[in-house]
Amino acid sequence: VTGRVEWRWAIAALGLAAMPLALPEYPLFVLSLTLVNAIAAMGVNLSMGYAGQVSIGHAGFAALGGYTTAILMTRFGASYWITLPLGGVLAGAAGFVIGLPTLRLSHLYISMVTFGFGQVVSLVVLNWLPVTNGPNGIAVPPIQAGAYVFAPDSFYWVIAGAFVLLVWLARNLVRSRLGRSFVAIRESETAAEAMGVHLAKYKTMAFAVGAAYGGLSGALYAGLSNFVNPDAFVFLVSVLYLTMNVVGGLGTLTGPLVGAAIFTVMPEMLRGFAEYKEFISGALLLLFLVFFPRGLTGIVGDVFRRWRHA
Amino acid sequence: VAFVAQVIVSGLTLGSLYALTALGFVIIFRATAVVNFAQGEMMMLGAMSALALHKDFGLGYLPAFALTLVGALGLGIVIERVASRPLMDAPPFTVILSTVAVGQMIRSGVRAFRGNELSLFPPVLSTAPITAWGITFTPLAAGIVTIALSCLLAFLAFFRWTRIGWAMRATAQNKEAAALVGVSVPRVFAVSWGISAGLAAAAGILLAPLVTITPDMGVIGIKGFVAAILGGFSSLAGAVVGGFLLGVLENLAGVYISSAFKDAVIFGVLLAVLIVRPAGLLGRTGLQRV
Repeated sequence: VTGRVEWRWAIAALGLAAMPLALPEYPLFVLSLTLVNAIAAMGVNLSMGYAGQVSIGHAGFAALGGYTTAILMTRFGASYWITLPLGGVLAGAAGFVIGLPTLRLSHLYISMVTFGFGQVVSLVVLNWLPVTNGPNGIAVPPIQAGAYVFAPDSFYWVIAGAFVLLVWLARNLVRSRLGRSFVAIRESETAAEAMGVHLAKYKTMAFAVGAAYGGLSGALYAGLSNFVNPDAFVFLVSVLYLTMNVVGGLGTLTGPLVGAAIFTVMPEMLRGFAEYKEFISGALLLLFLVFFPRGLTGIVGDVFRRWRHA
Repeated sequence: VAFVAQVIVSGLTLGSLYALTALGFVIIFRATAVVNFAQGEMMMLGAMSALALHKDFGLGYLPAFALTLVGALGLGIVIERVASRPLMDAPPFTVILSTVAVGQMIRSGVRAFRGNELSLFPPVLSTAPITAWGITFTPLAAGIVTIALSCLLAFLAFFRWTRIGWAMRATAQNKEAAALVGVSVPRVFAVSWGISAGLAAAAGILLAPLVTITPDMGVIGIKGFVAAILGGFSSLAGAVVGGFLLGVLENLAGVYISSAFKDAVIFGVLLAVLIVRPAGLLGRTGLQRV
């Protein structure tokens, strides 16, 4: 069985790699954006879907990654290949620092703290003019590898590569002892603790990894759009990452990707109804929470299983 | 000293509104152990509705106020029914997410209705400054603080002396025991959400003459949230104290640090309090029941 699963992965990765041959420039850009969003949503999924620790400020971590890249590249001429991982590391460190004291408390505190964190990052980015250039944002120079300069369509390769790597990491993580501890925490903290799971340690770890995914997503976004501004990292975006997970399916590996695809493509399709798209995504979030808490992947999985047993 | 006193007094106006909103957060939290992230939107809705009734329908300020309060009460009860009650047995974070969803629906719904237009509320009281005992304030500010305090006292009296107030306190202490002695716990939930929405709307109506009204003004409601955390999140008195304290702190930060960064300072305070003393100023860390 394992062999077959590995094959499925190889096919999926090959499919992703073939996309630039099949897609024109604009859909390819949307696909890149989908993968960038999916990485942030995976981060939320690792801390919330697996370990049960909600993050209502994940856009703050993405902002850390995006602005780290933009500032270091423009001010210090740093290479993107250094700022990209650095953005992830910094965001992960921020997640660790935030998680360390608060995750020892009840789950409500982490929702409040992440919310506060997201707001602080938004406000700082908006108001710290000398460093972040405020509402006007920062133009990120084109990303280079040696003498080669990436265009948005060729930058897809970078994003797809990072995506495959991060999915692979997440998959191995959730199947390890660590990931099983996460799920145990989600199901019952008391029971997990009684079975010897070090609650604070594992919760903080889940949270820091989730934050690092957010930071990497922000840095990739900066490379893709060659621009960062505060609008890209507002509260609404944090909510969107949550919505992607709930609609796609929390605690599954494919859920965040499905959700990211829906909520990246939908706004592009609904250009004419821009003022309703927030309402629609809010309504979808509520609808899925109440009626389909397992998300689309859960529904599809159920249908598939019934069909196979029929 | 006179200057500091002035800054403090000016902070009380907003502080009283933060106290109202904070109280709303705490009431819901005590009843259903949920943090209602739609509270700021209820506040915005209060301001919007008062504006529409007053300006477009020509109602007086007080009738508009009363009508808005009743509407908010009803909406709070509806939200509890739709977004909280069906999720009582779900994992704890789902209800938090559902309030986030409700907030987003209210915000974008209002925006779809009114657009992003910035509206000003016609001043209901004079804004000509008066000086008494060396401190300058406007009749408008004094009126706002007075009404806010009346709302606070009215709620506390309700909480202390009415049957449903007792039921709310009993439910906060122990749901099963309250249900055993005949308290209708679902009704307590509904009333708690209704009152909480009413308090937020009241804060919104009072805030309306002070700021520009936009669909995004609910962000100010977040301050009530910070105030509630300052006060310990489960203590009613703490919420009120936290509200006033936050209003004053914010004003001091605006004067002594930077007005652009005063909001960031406030959230910095929030993070610091949660990290150093998560039980807040007046709260107690409860035991976690299994």
